[in-house]
Amino acid sequence: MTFRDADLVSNVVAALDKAVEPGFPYRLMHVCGSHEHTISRWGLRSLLPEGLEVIAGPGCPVCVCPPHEVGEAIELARRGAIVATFGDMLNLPTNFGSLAEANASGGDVRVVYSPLDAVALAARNPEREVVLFAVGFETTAAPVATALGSANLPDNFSVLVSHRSTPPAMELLLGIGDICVDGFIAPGHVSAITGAEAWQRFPDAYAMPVVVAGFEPEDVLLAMLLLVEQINRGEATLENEYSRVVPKLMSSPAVAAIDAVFEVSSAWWRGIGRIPRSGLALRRELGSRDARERFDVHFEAEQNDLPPGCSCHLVMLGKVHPPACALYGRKCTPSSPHGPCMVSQEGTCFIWYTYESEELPATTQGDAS
Amino acid sequence: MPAEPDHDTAGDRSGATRLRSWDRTLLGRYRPVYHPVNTSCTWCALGPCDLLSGRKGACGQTLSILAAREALVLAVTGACAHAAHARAVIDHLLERDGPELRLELGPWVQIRAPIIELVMGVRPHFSRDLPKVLDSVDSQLVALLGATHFGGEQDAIDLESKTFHAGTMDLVALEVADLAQSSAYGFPSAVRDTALVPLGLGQVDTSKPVILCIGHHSAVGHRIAELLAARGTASEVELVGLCCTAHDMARGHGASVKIVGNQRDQLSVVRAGIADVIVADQQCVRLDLKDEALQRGSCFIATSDAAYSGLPDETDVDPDSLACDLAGRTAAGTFVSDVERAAELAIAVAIRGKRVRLGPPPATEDDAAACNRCGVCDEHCPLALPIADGVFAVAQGGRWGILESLSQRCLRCGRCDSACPLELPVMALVDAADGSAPLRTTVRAGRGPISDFEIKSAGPSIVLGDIPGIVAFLACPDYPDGRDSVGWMARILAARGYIVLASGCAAMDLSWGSGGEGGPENERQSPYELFPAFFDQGGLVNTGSCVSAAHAIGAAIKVASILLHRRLAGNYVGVADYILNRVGMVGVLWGGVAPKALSISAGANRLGIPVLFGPQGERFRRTLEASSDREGWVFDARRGNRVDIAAAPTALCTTAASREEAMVEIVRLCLRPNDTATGRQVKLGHYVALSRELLGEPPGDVARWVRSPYDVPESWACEELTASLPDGWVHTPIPDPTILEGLVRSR
Repeated sequence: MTFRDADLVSNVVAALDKAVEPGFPYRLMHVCGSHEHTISRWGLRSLLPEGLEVIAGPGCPVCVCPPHEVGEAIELARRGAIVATFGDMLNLPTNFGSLAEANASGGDVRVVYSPLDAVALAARNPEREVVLFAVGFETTAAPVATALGSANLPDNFSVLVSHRSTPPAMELLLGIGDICVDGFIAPGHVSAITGAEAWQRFPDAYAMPVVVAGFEPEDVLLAMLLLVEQINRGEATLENEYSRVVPKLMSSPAVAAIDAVFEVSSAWWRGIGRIPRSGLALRRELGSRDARERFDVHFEAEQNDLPPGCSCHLVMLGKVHPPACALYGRKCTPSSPHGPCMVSQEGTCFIWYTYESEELPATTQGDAS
Repeated sequence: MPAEPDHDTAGDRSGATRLRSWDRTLLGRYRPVYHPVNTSCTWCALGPCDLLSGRKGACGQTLSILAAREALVLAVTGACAHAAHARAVIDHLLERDGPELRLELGPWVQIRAPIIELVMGVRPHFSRDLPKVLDSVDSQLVALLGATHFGGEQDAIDLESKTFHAGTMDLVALEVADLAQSSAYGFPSAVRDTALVPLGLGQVDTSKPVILCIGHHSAVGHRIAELLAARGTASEVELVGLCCTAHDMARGHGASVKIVGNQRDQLSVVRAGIADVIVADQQCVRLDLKDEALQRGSCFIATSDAAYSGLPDETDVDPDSLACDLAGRTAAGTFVSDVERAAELAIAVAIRGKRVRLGPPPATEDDAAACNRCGVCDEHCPLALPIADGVFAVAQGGRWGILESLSQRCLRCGRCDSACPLELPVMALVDAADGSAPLRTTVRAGRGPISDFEIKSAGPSIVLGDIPGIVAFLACPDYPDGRDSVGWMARILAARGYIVLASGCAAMDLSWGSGGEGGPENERQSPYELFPAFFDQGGLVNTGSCVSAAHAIGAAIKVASILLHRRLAGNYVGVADYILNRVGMVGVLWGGVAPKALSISAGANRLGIPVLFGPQGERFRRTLEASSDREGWVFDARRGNRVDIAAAPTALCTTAASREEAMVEIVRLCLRPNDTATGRQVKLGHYVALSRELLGEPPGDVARWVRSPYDVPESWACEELTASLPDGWVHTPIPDPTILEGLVRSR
């Protein structure tokens, strides 16, 4: 398969045109910021036939990171620890401020590009505590787990865990209703860790078609075509469009590493609430590496975790597109973000602001309120 | 007139039938099963008309219509009681604080009035907004009652629809009352750690003058507490309460108020003669309370014009003068409607010195000696307890065992006393047989609403089924199986991760759940001390008095609003459909006997919340059950097709014969069509385990609830499940359920 191939794209789009039945609304949801990036950057929405809509779900780990966990990181920085964080987290606004502001106020916050960078930081600064603020889905949890499991891990290294897992959030979307999704595009990189089978319960229990997709525009378009064809046949199966990377079964080494270090827990998703079994926590025996236990830092979740007027919660649930938010493009821009979805490069609002046309509809077809 | 909500009935004029379409949809799934109490109608001068065997009355009425009509009258009565109470509360508070009192429930509760907003389409902000809401309630209740007149509504299902509406008006009135009093008195709101308040007769310090407040409107009780505190004499007077008044006094004043008990305990407490002063208002007050109080030497002050009790109106008399005058009366009873004066009078009487209290009448073998075992007491006992055998055994050989065993179940209603042709002190004999020490435990003071934050925190788990359900214990304490029954149920549910809510008399009785193993009941911890007081997995929450039941119902509404960001105004049907299909909540009115119990349950039912009564619930004339031989169905909103599934919940209004049966039914009633696979697994796990433990065998219908292998509970062995799956069992996908065709995506 070749990529960035205009002929291939035209053929897939033509197939979609043929497959999509007129007057039959198709709503497909993805749960991955990288997929939204692909869709928006390559203008895929403009190629889709009428009646086929693709909406973004809660696929940005930075966007769903609740403010109180950022507050814990800021507190650790305030207490003198070096807080290592991934770049997108730096400007995430919260009631506690942002990590960038904490840095400007004398805290030591440093950007790292992998957990091993944080480990190296700890090795170079033995006299200081180094805390990795570990935010991300399974793709990040795996290298964090590997780092924690590595030999000669410096004693001054610990982790402030903020990992989340997407399948429970998808079940919540199906359970709370109003979202009206006909099929899911599953994230390829998460699937590379968990194996495609991680999504099997959706076709089995919910009769929900799922296609695991890669990140080239052809990947995403093909995934949409496979889903439309399933919907037309009245079927619900799990298909793997990204088979060149994603195995059917779980990736043993990565999952084994995660299981050795983490256990499943409930987690707060900003703007949504506490979703059961959707997070990871360090196992009890690794308590000394758990920054919360090590430094006795436990912040409570907040009632209002979004700024007034912010519609990130509706964007993340797929109920509206970013232009529906009163703040979008006005008070809230990438250079001065108000809501979390405008901060991260995986955030839907950031992506739309960067790539999408202003003519796209603000509301999604399924808004039932 | 507040803005009208969903108006799906073009013919509606009064507002009382605007949700008729929804009601008929619901009643098509949960058909009324009538349990007539009266088989002949005596409602008009042409009766009595025998309606058995298909006969019609002189007006054309059938037995079903009679039962439905009587249920409607009961529901309207209950709703009117709460509406009148709400009116009394806001009239007093408007007079005290004026029309500009801001209605606040604290920073954690931004959706302050979910029921009012859902039903009336308005958000009240100030006290002046509430009378208009009640005006609307009043006019609709009049319309409903009018429909029961001779020659009124002639369709049983439309009568049921009106009963639903009476219930809805009841819920609005409850919310008005609690919103007003919480704001005016500054009750702690949505606070987890409210005070643990002493509960029980054994907690009362009778060495001090005792003021006992009984009823529902706590204004006088509050004022007494305020005056005592202001004068520094709170420690010199024992201020105690019975019933909902006690709940609300405790909310306002914490452990400085003691709760003696609930409606069931009234006669025993008053006959114990502990009170120097009894302040009574309205509702659930025994109709012989004044006479019993005066016989025991207590001063009796009636304060509500709904219950003058035949007493002289001395509202305009100076309290100190009146206190002197009352001291000299043989029967010291009076009526004082002014809150300030009633409070001053109560304190003045109390501090004049302890009255000669006439303690409980002696009950010995000699009192039983004349018993001839005629059995009249048995016939009049609401629970048909074997009283005659018990009294006769005492008479014949001083054997108290039978009376001792039935004393745990006795409702202390006193019917046996009044029925005995020999005028034996039967209830006193039962009390004498109860060898336990005066009861003492603790109850957590009511906390009012569930916070929006708690909904956000627990909401996803409720919808997904990881929290297996919300169980709200409400209403009256007249249980068929003893004081500790609801506490027993609540403790088991909380330990299994259900969220347990309670209000009113039931909330008090949760304290008797034998929280610890072994030892005398008095020494065991109250379940309120064992379980956290938050709205989350394993939490045990007392919302407060009967009017606080609105917060339990409001929590279900807020799940739809906060989790899904659905608007409330004008969206009753959408929210009710959501709750019916997705929020696993059950109301348990185990002892429900008053008309208010029916009205609350009807209001809950219309919102899609099933209710379980004790066996006496059938005396409310009807239950609402899904047909056992007709499978339930829903529309799958996503796929646009109708899906045949096992009806969940299995009933909207049903009964159970025993606490064990109730427990198993409660967990089954928490099943919902959209349970996720994990959630269904969790719920079925509890269903199977409890059925085995309490009924001695697994439930026979588990296979109905297994939609796919993902639903199979871990406690159910594969062999057992395979054996129980019916022939032709087909894997059923989890739907996106609704019973509203309008919410189905058109294809």
